[in-house]
Amino acid sequence: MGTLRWAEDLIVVQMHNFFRDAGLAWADAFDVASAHGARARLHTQAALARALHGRPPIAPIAGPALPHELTLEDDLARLLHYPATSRRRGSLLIVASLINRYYVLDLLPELSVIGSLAARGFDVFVLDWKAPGATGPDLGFADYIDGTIARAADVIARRSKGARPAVIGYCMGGTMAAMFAARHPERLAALCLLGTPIDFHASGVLADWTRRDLFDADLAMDAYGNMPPSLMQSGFQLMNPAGALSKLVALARDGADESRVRHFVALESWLEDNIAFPGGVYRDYIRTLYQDNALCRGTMRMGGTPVDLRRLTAPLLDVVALRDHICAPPSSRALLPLVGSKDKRLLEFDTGHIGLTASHRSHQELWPTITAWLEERCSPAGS
Amino acid sequence: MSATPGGAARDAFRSAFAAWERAAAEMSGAAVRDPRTLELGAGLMRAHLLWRRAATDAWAAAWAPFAGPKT
Repeated sequence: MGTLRWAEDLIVVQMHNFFRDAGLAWADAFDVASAHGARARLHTQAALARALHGRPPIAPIAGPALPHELTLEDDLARLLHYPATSRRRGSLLIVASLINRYYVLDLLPELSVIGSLAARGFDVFVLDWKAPGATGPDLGFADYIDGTIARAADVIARRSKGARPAVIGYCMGGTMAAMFAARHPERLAALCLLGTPIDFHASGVLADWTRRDLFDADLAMDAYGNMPPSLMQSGFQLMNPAGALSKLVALARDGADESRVRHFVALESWLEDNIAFPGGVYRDYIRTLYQDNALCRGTMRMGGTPVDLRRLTAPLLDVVALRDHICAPPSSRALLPLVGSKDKRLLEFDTGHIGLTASHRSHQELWPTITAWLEERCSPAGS
Repeated sequence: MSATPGGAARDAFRSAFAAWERAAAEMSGAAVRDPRTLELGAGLMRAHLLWRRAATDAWAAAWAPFAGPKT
């Protein structure tokens, strides 16, 4: 009887775990299906707008624009490689936000930050974060920063004969890149941050919404396991409720302009293609960063050791969008006085958070400056 | 400015729409920071999360009799 009971328990426990895990995995599958549905809806809206002007629909747009190869894969991310297309100048590692897909940096062939960098001779590597699934509630910042990002930097350095990559971090990916640079200063050649929150108490409306007296991150994660993208997206939409209508009116107005319609479909499809925020990281992100502002105050700890921004000594370029409503400019500006870098520069540009990477103007006016800064600090191979 | 009647109507619509966009953005920007909105939003979110956690716990509890002691 004892043995039977033991076998029964084992099977039922396994089934229980299967269903619990299947819940989060099914949630991830739902997010993927929902992104495909949104892409189809946006193509339909674009076709209607084109028809209003007597024009044919645009060709389908699907995810990343340029060809790339898979270099490395672990449980948390795929490391993708966009090879340099001119004389090689060095390697870059791009760290995007955990909740957004990276391809806002490779949106369209004519509007690809990654494509421009590759054309200038950079071997571009980018971390494509995976949906967290059942492991999400147990993941922490250390798994990403000391694990996946550090491993990716090592692999890139080995492929580049010892030359360390420069790291580019965008939005929350920038915060993670800054923490990585502070914990592993020997693993990178330079750091470029775009729209990166550091002083979370100065980060605008999101700081208000996540105040300790208003929002309980533990309750949210007890309820969901991982933070569903739909819940986060509804929050972002609340920041500008009129935005959805404005976009549709602009689409109908500009339906004759194929390039504008392509931009609309590519960008809006990206905005609706998100992955869940890993529950364990989300608890830390809200409690430690937004509520305690621990990174800025120098009290943050990860895996039992401090995250001290004074140890960030790599050359630093901090790019701030002046009309950023997701990461208010004072939140990013706070970084420079906190780091140990001697070579540091603040670059401010009049655009919004997404405009940093997805607008034609930033490609023409901002990225040439960033690229020149990177060229001066990267070497093609180690000595 | 456009010389044609259709073009003038388009220009008028564009400027009116741009003014509406600005006003809507300002109003929503103020609303989402208003302490009353924050309190209301936090209350609704908390109610939703409590309900959702209760459902999750009920699902786990339904399995508990079959799960046996934790090892």
